[in-house]
Amino acid sequence: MFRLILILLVFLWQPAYSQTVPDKITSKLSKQNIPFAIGPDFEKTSLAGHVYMYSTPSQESIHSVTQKFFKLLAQEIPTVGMDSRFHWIRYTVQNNTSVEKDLIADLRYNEFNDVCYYVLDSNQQIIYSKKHYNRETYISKKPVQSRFFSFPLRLGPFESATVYWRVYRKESFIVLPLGLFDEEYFFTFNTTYDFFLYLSLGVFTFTFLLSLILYLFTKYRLLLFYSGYTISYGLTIASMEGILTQYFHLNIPFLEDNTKNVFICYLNFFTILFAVHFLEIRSFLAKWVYYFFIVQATLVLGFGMYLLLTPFTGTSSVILSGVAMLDMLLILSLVISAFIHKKRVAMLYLIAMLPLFISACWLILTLTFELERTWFYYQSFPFLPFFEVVILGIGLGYKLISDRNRYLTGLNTLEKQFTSSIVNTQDAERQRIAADLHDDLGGTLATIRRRLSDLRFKVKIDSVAKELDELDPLIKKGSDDLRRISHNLMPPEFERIGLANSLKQFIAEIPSQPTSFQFIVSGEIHRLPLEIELNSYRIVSELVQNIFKHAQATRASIQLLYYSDFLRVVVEDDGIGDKSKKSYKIVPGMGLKNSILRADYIGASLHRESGEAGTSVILDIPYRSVSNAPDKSDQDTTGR
Amino acid sequence: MRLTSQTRILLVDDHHIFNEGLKRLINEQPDYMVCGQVYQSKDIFPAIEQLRPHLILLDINLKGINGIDIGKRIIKDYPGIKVIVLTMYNQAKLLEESRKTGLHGYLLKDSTTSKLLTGIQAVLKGEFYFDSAVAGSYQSDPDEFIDTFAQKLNLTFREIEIIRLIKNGYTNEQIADQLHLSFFTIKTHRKNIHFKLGLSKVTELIDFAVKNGI
Repeated sequence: MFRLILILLVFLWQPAYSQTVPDKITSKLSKQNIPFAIGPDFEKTSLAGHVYMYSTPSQESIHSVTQKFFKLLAQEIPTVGMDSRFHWIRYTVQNNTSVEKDLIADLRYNEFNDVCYYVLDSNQQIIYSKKHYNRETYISKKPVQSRFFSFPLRLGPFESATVYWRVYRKESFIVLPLGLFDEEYFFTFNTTYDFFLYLSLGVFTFTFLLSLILYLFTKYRLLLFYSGYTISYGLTIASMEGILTQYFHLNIPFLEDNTKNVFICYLNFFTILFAVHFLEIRSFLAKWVYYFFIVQATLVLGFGMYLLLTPFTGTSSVILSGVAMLDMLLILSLVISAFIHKKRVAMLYLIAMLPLFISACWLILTLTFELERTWFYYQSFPFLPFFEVVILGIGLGYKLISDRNRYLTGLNTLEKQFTSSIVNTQDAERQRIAADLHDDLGGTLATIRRRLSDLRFKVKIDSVAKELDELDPLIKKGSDDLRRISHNLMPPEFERIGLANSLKQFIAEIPSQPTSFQFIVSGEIHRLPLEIELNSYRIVSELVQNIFKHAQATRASIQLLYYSDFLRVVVEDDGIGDKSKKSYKIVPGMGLKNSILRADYIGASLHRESGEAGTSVILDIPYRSVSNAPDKSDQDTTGR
Repeated sequence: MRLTSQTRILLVDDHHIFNEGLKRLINEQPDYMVCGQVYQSKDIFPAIEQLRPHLILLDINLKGINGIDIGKRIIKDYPGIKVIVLTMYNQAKLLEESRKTGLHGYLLKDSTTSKLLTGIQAVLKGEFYFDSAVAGSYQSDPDEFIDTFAQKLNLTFREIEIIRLIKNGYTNEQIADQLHLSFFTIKTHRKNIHFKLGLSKVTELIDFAVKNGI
């Protein structure tokens, strides 16, 4: 994609470019043919200032071409543009040393449909020639093992030779990254380059497989887009570097030059999908923006299909460059928009895209201010995507983790809300029933009792008086029961009385048969927030009810130990433990479940154990409240 | 006629049936008369101002405000008026609070008529009357657990068992085994015992056990 964009930019800047070599200078220098001198320490050169070109539409022979007028190409990496003629390139090399030099003449652009190479000695005699190499020539059939066009050039001591290249490319752009290397240096250079290239491709493949497998397990769509993105990036680069055709003989006749263009379309498709989901644009942009991008991605995919089914043309290549550039700008605008909306991942995306932009800007600068594009710049292209993919991979990992955390936090909040709603509903309901019982029914019962006793003294008939006397304890019992029940539900004036006193009262009201209860408070009483005290009270009363109903204990004790930093409540009995439920159930009963829920709600730890010697429950309530009760700010965020 | 010699009583209770029943009961007594009935806390002070009762029977459970707090204000603003709390709340702590506040009595709504009248009578004579039927009302208040000697005896049956085993040289594991409890629980108990007795060393604990015959 980058190269296509660059080519498009070059194409757009063509007029500016062609002015860089004024005709006057060209004609002056044309016949001179300054040879490039090879010194003893020679390693490599871009031959800038030594390269001449002659373009012709017809198939001319090398002999007739040598007589033609060649124009000097001044740039380090000359750009010919879209020109389907035969381009003859000429440069002369002079060995200025007393030893034989083995050199490699290199053309680092593997898109040509035809390349011929000639070496002529100083007498214009052909001493070496290789003809009709092209982009699909297998690497094993090349004289020099290189995916580009590389040919040997041997110069004896103080010998000179002129190199002629003839290159042809059907309907597409031509760039001429020419180079001349010392043979040893060439292989070192190529090996290093290939090492990093394959490393990148390896990372692409690994990332692709990893994210695909992760996708299959997690069904997290972003992973699928990322795997598509990495594999199409990898294939685009492999195709650009000639790996597909020259190594794997992947020679689909119809595809030809279209191969990489098709991959570029897929790459764009996945890039858009990935960006849109990675940046979560739906969370801060209108719905139609999202659909616009989806349509754009689908169109690019469709264009890829079209390229797959039609022969290669230069026009479609230009269109694709335009589309790729447009997509890049669209994604950039998304990233900026996300950045404005304070999406943290946008920063990562920006960093990932940065090298591409720097290179694009650099290119524009070189074209505007006639700065030289260097080899370093050209060589770094294949590694820019590598950088992008790795940074986005890191971003994806970060996102996966933060999404998971967010999900867990959300779940936790929900759970808290659920707990608190259970506890609160229960409490509200109990409070209401207790108030109804105690205040209304209690008052009525007391009145009835008093009226009855008044009546009793007015009655003169002994038998009726006796029956009325018998009625009194019944009403008294009803009144006591009512008080006990309502106290259990909600101790009266709890907030005023506090946990310790309410519990003391509660224990005092329990009949001493069959279990005798002991109540102990130790340490300095520390009042806790009402909610915590009330829940603690409920837990204890629940436990006491259990002892009373099920434990068959003779002794039980309830202790409140006010330590310096927490309140410890210990409830114990010497009863039959969990055997009371007739089976050794591990599932806690409703009351215990409730207690656990409440303990969790107030941020207390509840430890319960039950054995032959009875049941022990230890409840530790920290003073510094870590209550699970969701506060208002929590509730606001959970509406998402 | 008899109006001047009668004791004027104001009833404060939001429970209508009870309030009516009480009025009936009191009005049956020759020496007493109900001079007014109040059902809401906001009507109390205007009623006192207007009716000038000798005695007020005050419920604790009034909407939005606690009766004891109102009673406190009444005896402050009208030192001559006697205030008796008449409540459903069988709560020692509330009784104590009423006593400390300076209220003149604490009666339970479901007590017998005679007890109610006895209470009123006593208060009118200038005594204080606090119903002894209130559960645990004359036990020591948990607030007052500062007496170190009392604290020393604040041990539970389980703790005494544990101290006995410690005295006999059992390790935590052995105690856990013996009492069918977990190591964690035994450790917690030991920490609690030391906390309650204000001891830091095992030797001190053993001394304590020997002295107290555990």
